[in-house]
Amino acid sequence: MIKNLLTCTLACLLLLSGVAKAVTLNVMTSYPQPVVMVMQQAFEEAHPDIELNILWRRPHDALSLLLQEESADVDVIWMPSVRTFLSLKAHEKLAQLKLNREGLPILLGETAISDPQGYFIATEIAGYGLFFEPEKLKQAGLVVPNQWQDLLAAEWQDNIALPIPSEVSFAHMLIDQLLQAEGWQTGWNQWQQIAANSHLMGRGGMFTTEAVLAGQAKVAFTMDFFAATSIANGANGKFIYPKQTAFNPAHVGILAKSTQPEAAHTFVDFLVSEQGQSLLLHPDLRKLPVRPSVYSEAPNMQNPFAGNILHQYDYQTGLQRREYNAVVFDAAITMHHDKLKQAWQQWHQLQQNANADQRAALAEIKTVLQQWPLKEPAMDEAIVQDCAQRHDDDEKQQNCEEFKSELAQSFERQYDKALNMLAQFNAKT
Amino acid sequence: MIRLIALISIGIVLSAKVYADDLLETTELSRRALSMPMALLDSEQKLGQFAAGRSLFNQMWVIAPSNDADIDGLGPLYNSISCLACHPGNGRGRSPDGPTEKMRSMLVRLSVPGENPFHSKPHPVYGGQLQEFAVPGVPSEGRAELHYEYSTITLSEGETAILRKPSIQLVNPGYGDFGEVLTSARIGPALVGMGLIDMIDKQEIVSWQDPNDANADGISGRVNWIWDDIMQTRKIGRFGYKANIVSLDRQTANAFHEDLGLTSALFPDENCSAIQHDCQKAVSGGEPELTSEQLHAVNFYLKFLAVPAPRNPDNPEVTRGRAVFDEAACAACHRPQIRTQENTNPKAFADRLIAPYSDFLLHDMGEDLADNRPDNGATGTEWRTAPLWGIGLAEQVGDKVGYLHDGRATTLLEAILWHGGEGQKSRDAVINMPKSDRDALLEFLNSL
Repeated sequence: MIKNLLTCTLACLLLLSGVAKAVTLNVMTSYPQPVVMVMQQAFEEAHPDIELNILWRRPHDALSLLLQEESADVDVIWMPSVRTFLSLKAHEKLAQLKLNREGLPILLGETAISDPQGYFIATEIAGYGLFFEPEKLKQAGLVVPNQWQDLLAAEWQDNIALPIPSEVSFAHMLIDQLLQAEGWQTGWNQWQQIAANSHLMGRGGMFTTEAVLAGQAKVAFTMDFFAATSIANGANGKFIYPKQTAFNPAHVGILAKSTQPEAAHTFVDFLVSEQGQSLLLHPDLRKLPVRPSVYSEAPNMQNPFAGNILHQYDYQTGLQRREYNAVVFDAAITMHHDKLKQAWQQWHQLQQNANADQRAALAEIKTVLQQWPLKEPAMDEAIVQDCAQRHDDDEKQQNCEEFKSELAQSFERQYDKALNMLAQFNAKT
Repeated sequence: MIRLIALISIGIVLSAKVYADDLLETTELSRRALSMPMALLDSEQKLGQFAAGRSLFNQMWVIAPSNDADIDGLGPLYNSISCLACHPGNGRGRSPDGPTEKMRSMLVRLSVPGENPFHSKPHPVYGGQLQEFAVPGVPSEGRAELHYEYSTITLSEGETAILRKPSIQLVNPGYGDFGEVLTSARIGPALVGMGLIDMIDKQEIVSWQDPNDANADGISGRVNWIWDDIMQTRKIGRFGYKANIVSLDRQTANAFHEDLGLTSALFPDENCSAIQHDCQKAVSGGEPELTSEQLHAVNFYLKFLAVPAPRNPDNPEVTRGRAVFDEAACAACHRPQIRTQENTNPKAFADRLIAPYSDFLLHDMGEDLADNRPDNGATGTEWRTAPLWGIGLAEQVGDKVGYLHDGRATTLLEAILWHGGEGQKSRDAVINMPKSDRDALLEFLNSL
């Protein structure tokens, strides 16, 4: 019987082979291999008549290619990059989607995560938060933070892993969400102080979550899926969203000049279907579904659509000044990190045992440390534009570099001044 | 007598802890069990180097030209976009379950028939490997379909196992008919202990060979000596299913070249044959596309991936399985211990007893397992003894995995049942032993 069945199966497979040559759908993505692998395999099994040809590009490279008049033969764009989708839509490169949107909210809180006009749709979201090992935090006498500002305190010195926005792309939005929530100067002052407690993490090295697992930090700024995949793969860690945070949506869209619109819609439908959304729960993915009904399958995953996490973020503002912010971060923090750390560490130490007079003097030093020479820029300001386009234009690159250099010198003078004041304070006491 | 001494010595070693300390091992049991750094990497700087190599290993490479020159150069012809695709979780790939399924972590080697039983020439048009993908403007080479013939084996207590024998059919040729062609399918192997394999004392490997079966135990085994053009000397082939790659850096550069189409200092020319004109004209991602620093970074990562520590070695079932492994003479080829050389980089690899469970020799494994494709020193029936360290974690790190060179076996038992030739006696012993012994043997393998 088994033999007969097997023979039949084999024969059927042989019959199927070569019966219908699959349509090839060119999909441009910036997702890593595990995401592509899980989705591609499931999609091709569900739709054997469509074969995905994956064209991988980083978002800025994908955008630059797709904006060219004679761009590559791409049918679908699928990646976590709001900027890419907004720009493609603005350049009329996307086709309007014909989808059944039932069960797929456009808004998260008050923020739209999908294009209201239907040119692109969210496929998953990822939020910012903190990763730590509860036991190690307890051993170090540290209390689990529940807001970003908790990390300003002296006890977090050398205990935080913080990504550098000019090197780690997810950090752009992390930085800006605090600026948007707290205001320009307060937000930057908080980042200065948090950074003074932090190990700065750059490109190509360990993930911030790994810095925690390796014992180099007690808490890491990260995105939920980095933490969740780490935990799903065996790490003894925990992730929390602070009271106020931001969520970054990933999208899919169909190129207006796609020659395979039907197959493209099949793929888009699949990504946002119950099946496609459930695949996001795979231990190597752990992305937040945009179809709220899927959360019932994931009791350990917080559902941001339930309204328990405060999310207010203006993507346009964040996108327009992301490169500018990265330059400011480097000038104010990365380039003088040692001095910034030293100054804040000394300040905290002296503050602990200071009397009232001394506290007044220390308050003055704090004011110097927190002087912020930049007003919140208007989005059409030339330097914001120059920094935004610095990778594509030599002149703009030069302008942005000059701005960065002057700003860095200004911050260095400021930190030197604070350090001198701290030295004098020490000498007196 | 010689066999008895060998078994006794194996037993002694098995009863001892192989490593002096756990600098090279990991006790991680999660999906990342094969992805952990060795504890030897004890500084932020070294862990950073490891992470940088991992980042390149996981990198999805880009078709040139691109704004990201550091990661472009994929193709013109390629099998996969990233290393990770064929080695998910650094573990094993798998074969498609039928002709309609894509090869996602598998590829097919090609050559043309000839007279030489040890060497065959690459296909004059398609080269030494079928690349199923190509950059825009370049035809891909075609597709390989896997068809299976099924058979059933009955074991000692009436249990049955279904074995599937693959055959390859090449379809959709991109550059004309394939003609008479030899094929060999290969799944991505697990990446365990590659840095240590590189450092095994060559005399140890040589001393274990018995090419003429002088001890008449039915097991011969021979070194695959490979001519190293760069060093102008003969070296032992240690890597690859046919033991025909001499070092880790060669293995890595070769995979980048053949599987991803990335040139490097070791393979400076694009992987196009003389008549693949569009391929030759395709835009290059640099000369070479993979810099020496990048290649070094990936090698660093692979070199320092921690070896899984055996699990539950004192569990009575595991201990019994270990004895069964010896009694069935599995250990005659899957050698439980081997020593590294005295001078190594890093020094921590030097003069260590390691437990790859391989002799790194070629063995005739019989007709059923043969690919009948002579390959750089190995005949069509010869295969390198597959290392077994970490094999018990294969299903932990991958969603679905295959065993043996072409992934035809879906379980360890099936893999054993495919052993023929020099492994025939061991295979027969496993078939005929009581079920409880077989279970114990599998328990032991799963503890590695």
